[in-house]
Amino acid sequence: MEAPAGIPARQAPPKRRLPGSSAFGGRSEKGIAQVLVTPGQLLLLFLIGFPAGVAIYISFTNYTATTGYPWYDAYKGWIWFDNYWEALSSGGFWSSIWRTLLVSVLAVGIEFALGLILAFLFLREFRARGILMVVFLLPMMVVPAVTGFIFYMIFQTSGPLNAALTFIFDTVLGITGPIHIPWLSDPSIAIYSVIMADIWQWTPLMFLIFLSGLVALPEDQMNQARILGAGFWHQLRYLVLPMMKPIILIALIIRSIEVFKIFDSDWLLTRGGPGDATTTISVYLYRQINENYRYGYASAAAIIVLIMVSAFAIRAIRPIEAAQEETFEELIKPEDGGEELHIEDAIATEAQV
Amino acid sequence: MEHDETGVQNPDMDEPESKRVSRGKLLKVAGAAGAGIAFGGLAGTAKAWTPSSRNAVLANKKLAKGMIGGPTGFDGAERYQYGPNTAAGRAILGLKKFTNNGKKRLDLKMRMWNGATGQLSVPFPKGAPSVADQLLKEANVKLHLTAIAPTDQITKNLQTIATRDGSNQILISSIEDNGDYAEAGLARNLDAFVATHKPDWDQDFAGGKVAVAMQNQYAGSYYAVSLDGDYQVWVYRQDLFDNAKNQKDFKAKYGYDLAFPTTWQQHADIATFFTRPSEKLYGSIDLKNPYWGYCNWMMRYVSSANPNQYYFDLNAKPLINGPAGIQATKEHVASMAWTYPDTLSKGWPEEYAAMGAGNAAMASMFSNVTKFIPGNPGLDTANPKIGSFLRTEVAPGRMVGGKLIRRSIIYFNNQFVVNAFSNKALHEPAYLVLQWLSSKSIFDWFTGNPAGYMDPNHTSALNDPLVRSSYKPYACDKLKEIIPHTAPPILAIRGAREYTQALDNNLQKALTKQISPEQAMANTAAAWEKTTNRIGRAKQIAAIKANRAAWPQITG
Repeated sequence: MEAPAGIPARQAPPKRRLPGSSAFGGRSEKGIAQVLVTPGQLLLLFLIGFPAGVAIYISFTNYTATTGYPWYDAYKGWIWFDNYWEALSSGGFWSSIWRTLLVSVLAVGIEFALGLILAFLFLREFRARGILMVVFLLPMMVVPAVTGFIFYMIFQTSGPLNAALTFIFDTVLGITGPIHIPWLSDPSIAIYSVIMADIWQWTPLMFLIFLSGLVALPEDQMNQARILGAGFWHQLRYLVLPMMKPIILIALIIRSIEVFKIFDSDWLLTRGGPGDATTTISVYLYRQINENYRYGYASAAAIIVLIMVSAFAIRAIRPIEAAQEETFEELIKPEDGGEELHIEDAIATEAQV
Repeated sequence: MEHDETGVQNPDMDEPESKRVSRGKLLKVAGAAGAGIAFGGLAGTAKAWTPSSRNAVLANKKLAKGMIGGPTGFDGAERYQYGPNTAAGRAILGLKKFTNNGKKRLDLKMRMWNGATGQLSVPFPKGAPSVADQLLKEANVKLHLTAIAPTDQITKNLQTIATRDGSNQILISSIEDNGDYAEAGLARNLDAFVATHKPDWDQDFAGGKVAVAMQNQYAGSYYAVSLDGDYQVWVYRQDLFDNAKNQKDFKAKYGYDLAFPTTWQQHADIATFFTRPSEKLYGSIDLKNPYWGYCNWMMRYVSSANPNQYYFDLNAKPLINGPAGIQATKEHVASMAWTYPDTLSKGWPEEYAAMGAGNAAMASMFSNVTKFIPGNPGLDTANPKIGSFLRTEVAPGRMVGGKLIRRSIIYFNNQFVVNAFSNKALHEPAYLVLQWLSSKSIFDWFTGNPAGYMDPNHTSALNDPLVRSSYKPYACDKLKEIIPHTAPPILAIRGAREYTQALDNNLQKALTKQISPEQAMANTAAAWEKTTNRIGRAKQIAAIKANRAAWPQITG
């Protein structure tokens, strides 16, 4: 394809040598950069690779802390994929995965909706907006363990939540008797109590991300849409959401991965119980290590989870990239319907400017 | 100057007692007494200041005749002093060999539960040094206490194993962990030290050799030193049981006299009788929560056979999925009817608070219940106060072949191991510190100290005035009866935590009606089999056989 008028044909940038590059053996700019970056990359590789390598190694053994030999001798109990098969065929493992997914979907879904609504509400100026914003952001700053304790108190049968519900539904409306919902001890309810605690704590993060996204939307396009008569829903459907798609996806991915690791509040509220009714994958792994001392099995289970989460993350990142490309291509599409500019060419043009 | 029979010079034995007070000591004591008068804060000392009592005060600062160590400075201190041929004496003399007879300081680090450190670091009673200071004074051994939360114990010890960390020479352990820590190489085998230095456990542990085997041994060898008696006692409110109306109403309803139950059936009747939610009174609030509550199932289970309903047979096959396990589980589930709301999420703090607030007629608790509740403004909160009405008892049980079998449980327990990963040269002094602490002289002294929760497990401690004053005389007398009735938790064999967790998890499911009692026991038995196969059946069989020595044989 030929370059459109005014845009020079793409060509490889000339190799440049930095002044004094002889100190680096006469290397090019790229070579020097590689030399400078390599130690950091090696350190990073070690920091990530070493623990992962140990976990993978241990996962092929029946090593536990109590086998009497150090971890590097774990090969003495080499059992190949037994731990993996055991995890994949374990009801406890899969039920904790499904439970974690349930928590992730519900918690992140509700946090998303509430966060977006709050962001829209806080987009305009109103009295006490600043104070209210601080109040709404406070839960995010609370230590998760403290959140667990706060909600442990709230969810007691004789606690403030039931008292409030009793006041509303019994005292005021008169449609029920005193309410004694066993928030933490009923296996069918306890998981929702854990979810509620998570929503309370992390909706503010969604709110903050979305608010910053909304504030950054191009004012001229929004005004133009309003002038042309687009209502709220039209603006939301055709302007706001498409333009915020990357931000929304990043927020959802970050929160989904975080919720997948939920532990502190879950452990403090119910210790994964009653029974295993609130045992998420983190609690499951914690129990395997600290209560059953099964390092090999826990490592195998953790690696399976890592593969699952990685697959999800890779899959989830694609729409972000696509959204970024879409947005960029929208920006560079010629208004007269002429030939489209390629992103690379646009970048080159921008570099020229 | 005299030498004692061990050949070690004893400075306190070389002169008659009347001549042993140096001028410096005299001035020091006189100064302290004078300060007491001047400030009036030591009114007791000031009031008691007479020529005859002066001798007593001075005598308090010295060791009694023939003693080589022990605390001084308070009335009755001589009870905790010891001669050279005692467990404490041998330990101190042994330690002195490592400190060049006290001239060179030896530093040892001891990891403990945070609720227990006070008993070693806080002086008690008034005028006494702290236990740690006493050790420094006598042997020049400085004990550095590292406090951790009880729930962090396993994590910390697993980290120690994984990293071969030898920075703490003495580590907190629990009765359930003896097997795992021994097999992991964390707990050093103490047989040689025990043979050389001869502790007094066999003679003085309230449960005798059975208690020693239960708490200090794994597979017939010594690996741990117990400094605690976490026996589950049953506590009840005597005011409720003695109440004439309650007695009349109960007899009318159930046809027999109201008294603390000796069988689980009676316990169910009485608990039902006293469950009156409208009065905020519950019949029996023994724990049901995860991690702690399973001990109450165990008491029901192990009392199902004479002498004991064991968890495994001698081939390591689980026995819990038989009728005894199912019955115990059914009763455990039924007991939810007479406990307070949210019991599955309530632990020890809530139980102690509820008992002190008068919200329960009965409960199983640690033996320190009578130490911590009566008169404690934070716990003895009922109006009128009920702390002084709390009485302890042996757990209920069952009639088996015409014999009454009642079993308490001991679990967790502050017990200590010598860290095998620490400097080998320090293993023996670390053990000697533990022998000194566990000797009847020193143990009796610090057990009475209200600054911690290491509870009495020595017969001598249960007879000691300080301990009796702290734990209450009636509770100490009853403990003498409870301890011989006590069975171990699962077993102190390898994998004990894993076995326990499988049981606990299935009990929780049964308590919340997710599965039936039969299914809970079947699931647990299957999980236990899996664990046994993985660890190695032959090894487990040997450990189970050795552990039979830790089980009580008493009836009645």
